[in-house]
Amino acid sequence: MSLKLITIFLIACAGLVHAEDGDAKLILIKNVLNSIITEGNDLMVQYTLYNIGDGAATDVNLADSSFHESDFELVSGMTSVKWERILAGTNVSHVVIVRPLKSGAFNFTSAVVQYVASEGSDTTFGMSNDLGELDILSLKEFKRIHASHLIEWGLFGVWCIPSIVLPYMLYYKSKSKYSLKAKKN
Amino acid sequence: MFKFPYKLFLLFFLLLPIVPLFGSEGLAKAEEDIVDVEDDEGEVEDEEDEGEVVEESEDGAYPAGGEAEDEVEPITAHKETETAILFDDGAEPSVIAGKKESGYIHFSNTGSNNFIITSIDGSFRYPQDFSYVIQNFTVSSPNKMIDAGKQGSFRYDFTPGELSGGRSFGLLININYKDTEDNIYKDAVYNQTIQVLENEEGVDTETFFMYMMLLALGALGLLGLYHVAGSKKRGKRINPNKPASADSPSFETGTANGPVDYAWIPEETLKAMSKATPSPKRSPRKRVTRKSNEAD
Repeated sequence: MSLKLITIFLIACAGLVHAEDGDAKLILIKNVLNSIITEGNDLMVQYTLYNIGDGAATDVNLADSSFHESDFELVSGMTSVKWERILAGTNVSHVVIVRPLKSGAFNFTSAVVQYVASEGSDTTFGMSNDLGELDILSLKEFKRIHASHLIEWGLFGVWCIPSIVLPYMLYYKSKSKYSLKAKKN
Repeated sequence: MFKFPYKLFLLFFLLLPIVPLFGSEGLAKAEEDIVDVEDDEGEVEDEEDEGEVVEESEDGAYPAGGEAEDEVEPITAHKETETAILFDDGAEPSVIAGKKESGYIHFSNTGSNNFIITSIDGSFRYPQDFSYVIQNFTVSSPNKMIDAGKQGSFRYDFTPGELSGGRSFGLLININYKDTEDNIYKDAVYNQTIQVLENEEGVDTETFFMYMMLLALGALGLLGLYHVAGSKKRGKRINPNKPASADSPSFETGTANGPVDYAWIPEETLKAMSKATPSPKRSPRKRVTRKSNEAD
């Protein structure tokens, strides 16, 4: 009697374990972390994979080929990443740092993920969101916004001097002429 | 000088608002809204209080156009597609008024057609009636092709209005797409009632100014008290003829009541002053003749 119960229990357990092997569903979101993109300064791109399915995704490959060698210099991180497994209900993220070599508008297209949704199924192909056209500022434009402008302020001070000094000279002249001379003997 | 007819103008401007009353077009009126109540959606079974989130599960499509257009077929989703949405905080968004919330949409093309995702739009609806739009959010237009058998991810950002805090709304996010033959489809990715939380951070400026105003009012009150107390002390009447004492300070009277001390004036000037005794009460004509005599 107890043996039967045990076997039923074990089968039920196996059933439970199998129920977890649902299909994985991955959302890939590409996100630029910079607020301003400048030529010659680092550009940080974050890729996040969310598994909203019921099962774990295996053999996950992320690839982003939109940063060509001619336009971007790779500083840190890899544009092709692999994950063995992404469990259901979890997310992973990856950051790539590149440096733009040219200024102007650039069309940031999507990255691509390939994964196996469930045991023995074919590779599923997914695309990330498009970021659209973002403006890469040239160094000159960036400096115009963010440099300390010390020279400009210095020159401004110099040009202000006549407007301040001339009236002061007039005042000083008149004051020295009409103020009481100190101690007449 | 022509006197500007201020009184006339005042009268005119006072009477001006009465004029629109004589024309029915002049007044602002609110017309009764004809609300289309849809039977199959937006039904609320039991709602005890406003704050409770009402779960309304929608499977598949939300028919566009409402019941008024019965001839036009409602736009539905394509059977061979699947959509899902995930928010920053999970399957249900925790939305704060005035703060950006991101939704990550998963689109799975399981058929053999290619689909082009044209736009994603979101809106806040009245919880009891989903056809009444309270706020529309900016539409995102990815215009992206998802090939047969592939999946795509999209990001939809929306910011609830500042004034929507503390209320519940029906959040509806639709994804619009078309196939290669330009047949349009629409899928409601999220269609539930959510509670919008109030923005706690913005309150700081309000409280800061509130405290400042209280301080100012307090200071004003103190000043008033001080003034009242001070004036009571100095309320006694003062006799200007009394000599100055600790109780009643004297008034300045100039040289009217007392003798003038001439000791500080040099002697020559005193002599000149006593000579010129005739006061300038004489007519100006005589003064002029004396001067002309001296000039000769």
